[in-house]
Amino acid sequence: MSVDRDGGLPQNPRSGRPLEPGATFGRYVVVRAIGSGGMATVYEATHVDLYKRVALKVLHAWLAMRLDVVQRFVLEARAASRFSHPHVVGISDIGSLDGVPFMAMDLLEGEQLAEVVDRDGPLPPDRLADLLLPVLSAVAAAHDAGVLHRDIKPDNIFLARQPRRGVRPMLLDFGISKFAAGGVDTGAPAQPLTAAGEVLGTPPYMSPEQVRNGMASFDARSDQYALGVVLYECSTGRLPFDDFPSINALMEAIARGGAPPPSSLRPELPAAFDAAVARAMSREPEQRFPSVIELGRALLPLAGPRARAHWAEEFSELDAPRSERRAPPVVLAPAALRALPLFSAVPDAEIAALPLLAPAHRFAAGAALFDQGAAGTSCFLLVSGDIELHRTHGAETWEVALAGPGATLGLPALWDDAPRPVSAVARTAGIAIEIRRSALPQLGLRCPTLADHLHEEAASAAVRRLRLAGERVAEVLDKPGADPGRDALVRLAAAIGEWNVPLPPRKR
Amino acid sequence: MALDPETLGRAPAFAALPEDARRALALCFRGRRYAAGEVVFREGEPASSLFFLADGELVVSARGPGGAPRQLLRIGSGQLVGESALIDPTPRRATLTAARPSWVYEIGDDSIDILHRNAPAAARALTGAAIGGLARRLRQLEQRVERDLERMSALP
Repeated sequence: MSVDRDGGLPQNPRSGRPLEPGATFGRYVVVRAIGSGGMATVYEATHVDLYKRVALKVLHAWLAMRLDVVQRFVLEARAASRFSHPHVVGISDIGSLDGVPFMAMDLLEGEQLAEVVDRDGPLPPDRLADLLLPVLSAVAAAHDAGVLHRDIKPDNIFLARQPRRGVRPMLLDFGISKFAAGGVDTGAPAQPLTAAGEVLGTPPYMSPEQVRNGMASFDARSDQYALGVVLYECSTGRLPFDDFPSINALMEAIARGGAPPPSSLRPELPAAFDAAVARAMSREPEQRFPSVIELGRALLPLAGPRARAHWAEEFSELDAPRSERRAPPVVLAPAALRALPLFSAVPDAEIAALPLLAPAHRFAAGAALFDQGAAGTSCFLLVSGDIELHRTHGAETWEVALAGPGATLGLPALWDDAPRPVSAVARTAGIAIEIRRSALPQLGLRCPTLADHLHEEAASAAVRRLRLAGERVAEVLDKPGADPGRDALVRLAAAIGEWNVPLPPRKR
Repeated sequence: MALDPETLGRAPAFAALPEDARRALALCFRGRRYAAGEVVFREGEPASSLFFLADGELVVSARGPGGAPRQLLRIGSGQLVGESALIDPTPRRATLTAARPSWVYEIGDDSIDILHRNAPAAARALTGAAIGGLARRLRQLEQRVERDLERMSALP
């Protein structure tokens, strides 16, 4: 962590006094205190150079001595920065001032889901599905990036107000999250920050395995259990295991399982909702949904029409690439990236920052990076391995190109909502870096050289392709009596849509 | 009239831009009010700028095979028009006309270089909008080829 002190005379945070409005803290000026919790105080503050309003989270001075707490604080920022998702709060800065760690996050205005339920009472299933599908997507993205949240509850789901566009649900507080140490694919199990057996989290949302075996047994399915509890609580106004005289009695009840179905408290709840909650809250992890995506798929039919349309792609069964992406990310040696033309002039610092924004994944021979017709929102930079590009028309499939290391696949999807024009299937095992459309703004900030190269490559590819494709289409379709043949047309259609596919040779 | 950065954020291509970058981008737009029926640009004119409709309604039309104008689509407030002209200076393929009184803001390709030095995120968003425009045109070509394939497949 850097010590950032050139923003004027800061108030000494070691004094433990809260910062007053107008006080400077590093490069930030405090506007007001927003709230204070067990670990930190959050202020609304302004960056002195950018004039950007942020939420500045400052660790309590008395906790700054504790290495474990400081590590956990840093871990929160790293976990949330390890992947980019529109429903996860962005971290713009982290540092320490006089030994007290702080982080700057997007400033949100709104209220916690817990406050809404307290005020309005239980939420109808359609509104609840509308609010939680974005959160499920965020949790799935975290899991894809190898991050477990470990403290999902209505207090950590924030409904940010948006001018003219209702609320944006945001998943907060990765403070006790866990991820594979350094993200390196060593084959070794992920290293938790907490000692094995230490109990962390919020008791009513803990899973049976967590209660029985502590954090050592926590995995993605334990996050799913907590989401089940959130669904239960927000739909009924009651926790599934309620009214216990002590924490120990509560934990025993959780370990036994068997909460009454939500509809026993609110009979108007549909059976499909009961079934989804019961499966997410199964006592045995293996009886839960295979992932939170499947939980989302079960909730999707209950959502309102707008949310259903918006989230259909994310939770659709056709989303084959997501299952491929569940492989843990790998960290590549800078030399491996330097060998690729796109990275030849990218500075070391940008290459070091890349895994946080665009994780690399291994793929096996036969795996699909994406399928023709699927809605894509990411492109893949092929580091190693060979990928066949297929175009299917009717019952027949053509192999239209073979892409090798250095190729960029699916580039148009970063800027255009179009179905994938081809399928990309691995001929050999390899590694690909996935850049998602949602990561582009952060990529521009932290890897500007790479972002510029990517834009230049896409811009010149698109211009070149549009000219050539336009000419070729005119040649084969506009010439009276021309019969280009199906093969040429299939290849032409694939080449227009996927900019990496060579155009078919010109007919003489 | 200066373009309000928040209004500019209604265009999806610029919605995720940080506030300072959006402010810099908004400063590069030049605004004009068009009366109903007034032409913003004509088919065949040289193209090197993008348009943002802050308020009003525009109609995109092009001449059909017989030379008669055909209305292709309507543009509503918050939408961009002519994005690909920023990186592909081919002549305009359609005519843009105000359907009712409209505030239209224009930004030229020279702004990309200026923004690249002062607000690189805004420059990338602008280039991204242009790439998106080209990608959509390529998609239309792909669909045209695919339609022809369908027609061939339907032949006995």
